Amino acid sequence: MQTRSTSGSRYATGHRSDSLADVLERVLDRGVVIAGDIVVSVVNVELLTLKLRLIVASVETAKEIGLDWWMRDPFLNSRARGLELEAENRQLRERLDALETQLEARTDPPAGGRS
Amino acid sequence: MTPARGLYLYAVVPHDARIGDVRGIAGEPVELLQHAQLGLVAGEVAVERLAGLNDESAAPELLGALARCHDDVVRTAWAAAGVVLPFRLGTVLVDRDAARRYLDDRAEELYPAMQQVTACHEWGVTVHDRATEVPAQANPSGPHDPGRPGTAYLARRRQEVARAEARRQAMSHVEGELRARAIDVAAGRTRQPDVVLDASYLVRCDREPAFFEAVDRCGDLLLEQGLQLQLRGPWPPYSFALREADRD
Repeated sequence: MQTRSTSGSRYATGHRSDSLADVLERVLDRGVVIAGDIVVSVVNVELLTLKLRLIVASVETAKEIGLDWWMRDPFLNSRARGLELEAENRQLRERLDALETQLEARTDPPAGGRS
Repeated sequence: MTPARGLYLYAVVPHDARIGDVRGIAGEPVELLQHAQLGLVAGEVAVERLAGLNDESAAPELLGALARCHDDVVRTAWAAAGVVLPFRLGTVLVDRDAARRYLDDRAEELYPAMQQVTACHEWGVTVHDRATEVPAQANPSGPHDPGRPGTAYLARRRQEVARAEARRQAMSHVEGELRARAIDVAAGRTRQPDVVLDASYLVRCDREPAFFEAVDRCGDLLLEQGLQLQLRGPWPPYSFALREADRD
């Protein structure tokens, strides 16, 4: 990746190799995010209201075009959040075990070598 | 209620631009509608072509193909006119009269908007946290004393806090460096947990060497923090142009 490209930066990802996800991110309006209806409207002009039930009609569709960030977003995906909590839980349990072991060592003088 | 045909908009350009022979999202000839000293790059399309996106069963390729094609027309107009205010995908007016009224209505803000993006490129910069790709527990780099897990935990926490602070300072430095070389900055909407920065920079072409130089320096600095910078572009100024959908 870090070869000098036409853009003049070593960190450029390539000129027109822009992925479809990149194009969509720019071409679709902000706030259009997944499963929302975009209402395209222009003030003071009678206009066509297009309800592009975009993007992406279904999760499968979105994944196919590479827009799957919400799968890993803890706020949107309870499973991702679950995994996070599980890991934190495990860490806390390990600490608790360690502390208890230490505590036992203190209250039980013959066994305690430290402190 | 919905008319069968509409005028699909790609971009606003100067009225004297020459667009040439271009085909649009429905294969229609793209035209330049001139009014109020402005040019509207547009094509007449069957509305059902877009309404198809409304259908749950719509082929995913359809949206992708429309987006690519929209971008291609915008880029062609950009190359031909030298400056462009791109519309986002799916902006449609009922007819040419409506288009003229649109230009009358918006001329006062379109002129300065066009001025602002003249001789500029949009560049996308993202910064990813590469460390999150590795499971956090696989790297217990701190002092590790099995006899004193509490102390080890605190030492590890202190290390993490110090590392987070170093990153925060690096990011703040980077954002300042890049902003200083751009005319404007727009926040992106990526929400992936490993994305630390997602922003678009409007950069004057003659300041691009300085911008790239800053990007390279910042990229190197961030690598030391385990952060990967990526530069994408040049784009037409999508993030700095017409934001019709936000209006109401």
